[in-house]
Amino acid sequence: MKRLRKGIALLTAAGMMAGMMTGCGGGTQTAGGGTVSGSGQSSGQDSGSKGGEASGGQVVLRFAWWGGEERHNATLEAIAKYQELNPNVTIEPEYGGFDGYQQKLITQLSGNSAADIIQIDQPWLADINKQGDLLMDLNTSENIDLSQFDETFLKNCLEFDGKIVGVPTGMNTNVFLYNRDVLTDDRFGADKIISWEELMEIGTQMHAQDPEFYLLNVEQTIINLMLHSYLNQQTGEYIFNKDYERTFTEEQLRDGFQMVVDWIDNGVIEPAEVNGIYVNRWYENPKWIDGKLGICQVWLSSQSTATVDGSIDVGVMSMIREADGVGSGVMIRPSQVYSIPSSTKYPEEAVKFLDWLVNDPEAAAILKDTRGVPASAAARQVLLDMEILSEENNHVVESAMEAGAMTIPNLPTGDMEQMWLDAIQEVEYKVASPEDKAKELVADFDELLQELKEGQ
Amino acid sequence: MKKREEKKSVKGFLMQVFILLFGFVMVYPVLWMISSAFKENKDIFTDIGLVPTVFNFNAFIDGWRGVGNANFGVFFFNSFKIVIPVVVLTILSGLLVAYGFARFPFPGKKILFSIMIATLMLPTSVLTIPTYVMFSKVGWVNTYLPFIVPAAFSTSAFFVYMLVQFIRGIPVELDEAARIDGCNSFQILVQVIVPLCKPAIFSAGIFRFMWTWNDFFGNLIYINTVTKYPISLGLRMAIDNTAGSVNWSSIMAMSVLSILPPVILFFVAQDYFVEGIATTGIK
Repeated sequence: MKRLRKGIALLTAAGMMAGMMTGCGGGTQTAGGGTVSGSGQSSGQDSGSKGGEASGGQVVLRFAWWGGEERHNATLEAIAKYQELNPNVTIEPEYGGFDGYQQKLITQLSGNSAADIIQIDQPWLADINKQGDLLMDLNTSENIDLSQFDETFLKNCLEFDGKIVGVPTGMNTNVFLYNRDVLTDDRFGADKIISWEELMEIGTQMHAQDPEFYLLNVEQTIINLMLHSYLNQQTGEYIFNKDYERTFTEEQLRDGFQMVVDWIDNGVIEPAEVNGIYVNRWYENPKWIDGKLGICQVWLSSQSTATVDGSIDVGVMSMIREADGVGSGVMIRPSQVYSIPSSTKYPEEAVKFLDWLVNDPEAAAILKDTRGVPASAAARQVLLDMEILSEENNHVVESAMEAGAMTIPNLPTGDMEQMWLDAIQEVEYKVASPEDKAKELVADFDELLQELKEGQ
Repeated sequence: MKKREEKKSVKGFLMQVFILLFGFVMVYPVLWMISSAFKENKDIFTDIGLVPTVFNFNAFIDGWRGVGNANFGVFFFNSFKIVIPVVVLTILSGLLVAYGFARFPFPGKKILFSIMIATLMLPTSVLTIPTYVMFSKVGWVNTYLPFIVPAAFSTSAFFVYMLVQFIRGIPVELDEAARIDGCNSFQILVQVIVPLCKPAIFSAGIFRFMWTWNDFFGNLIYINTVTKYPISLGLRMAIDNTAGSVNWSSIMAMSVLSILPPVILFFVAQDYFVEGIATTGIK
């Protein structure tokens, strides 16, 4: 009896030890997968040949994306259509909300079990690419027509180490929207250009007439975007360049910060205590819904958000800029990116589906603008014909491309965004004066750029 | 004498008012969720009052339908398919292991016990990728096995520890008496320890139920197919803050439904549960 008990105890102990060892084994393997990048590529090629053999039989592709209701329904409909056209392909949808999507994707990529076609956000690509050849180079495939995309745009946003790691699902650009019911005078319109000074004047004046009214609906993240545009118009470049060098001067940044403080003092924007509540959800600000805020800056894709279920009539206006600015201040980026992980078993079938999804007129008609204004010229034409894409928005996108949008270097940015947001908050809350904060941020920013450069 | 009593009752009255107010503040988010479920989507963030101007049940109907090829009936069913085995197996395996640690001397017991406590201290974020890689090698991704199998092998050290502490509090004399009456060690567990452990078992069960029911990250990583989503994933399925407007009213309506099972379970098992946390000292 006693011996038996002892035996069981030992067995349990052995089991626990074994469990621990496998745990450790798993750990080292991930580390290995991260560093040995060559092996990832070779396995991609192996599976390529396997994919060729299997193309006669049934192919199952997994397609993962995030989104809201409309995007889910449209994408499911597109999948059904593709399956109807290609009976040998079954596509398993894996969709969900945005929460946690990135963590899940990173985990899956390190476990080589990501879906065959994945939707990625462009800013994540730099970090993913650093971990090795996790994503397939679309240049190597003949099954996708990359000529439908603007070449510089594709290069600027999606080329890493000479490989095109994805295609844009759509294009997104920052635009100013104004409430048509409130700002009725003819200074506002898609073809009118307002300077930063005029903006300050109009805002000050309107706040003086109605103390409840503020011209700009902004919070720290939007102020950050506006500052980037403001600096770009003076320097012609993004806040740093491809060599991780700062492009603006301390004085330029100080003037930018001073402008923010003046906005608050003149009632052009709400005080920091109020707008801080609506960070990342400025459209939920009751004042915006009640027409007590006039202008917002959004990514074009969030235009429907800005209308709050269509209850606000918004118009697009041009980027605020001085007539003699060097840069346009306009940012342009893919709304999201479709990529194919190199771990896929059917690379060619996945590429074919991807090509259909972004370039085929039928797909464009089903997907509409659920992923922003399509980046593919063919798809954009379909939406124009269907009158889903308004002439106004098409004009915004095309003029943004013509204006020479500011190019954001494809480099990891670390804590850069947070650093800027913190600085903006301090200026907004008047914890630090624009002079001091500009000096401090320039120093911190240079240090961060140096670190990032060394980390490359 | 009378004055003193009066003073006491005033004090009591003020105390009551304070408790009521404080209670209201604590419950407010829940009340807000329930009231939002009945509001029109556009009124949720503009209308501050808790009582909606118009009662609107559409959110429940729309929300239940879900998005795409799965509705909330499927999500509820999936959640139960995960939670029930996990709870039952956690209790069974936890009891066996705790019984071993609490009652039997065996070589390496001290070391093994400290290892178990060490796993309790380990942050889950450290384990995520290694365990994911392990389970994906075994081919268990997109099944419920990564939740159920670990539960069967008593990997939640927290419950083992809790049960060990509880069993240690049961007098050994009872075991001895049972042994004299002819029980073997397994019969002692079943007929003596388990009945006395009821409060601890109930606490463990309820905690496990709530944690598993509300777990988002674990489900998110392991479950890919939408028709296999449990509630926690289903609720967030159509929340995309990066674009488009979110249909908050249906999400709130489904959230209201999703908290029902834990709430019902809590009230049904309340007596045992309260006794359990009081006796094990977990608060």
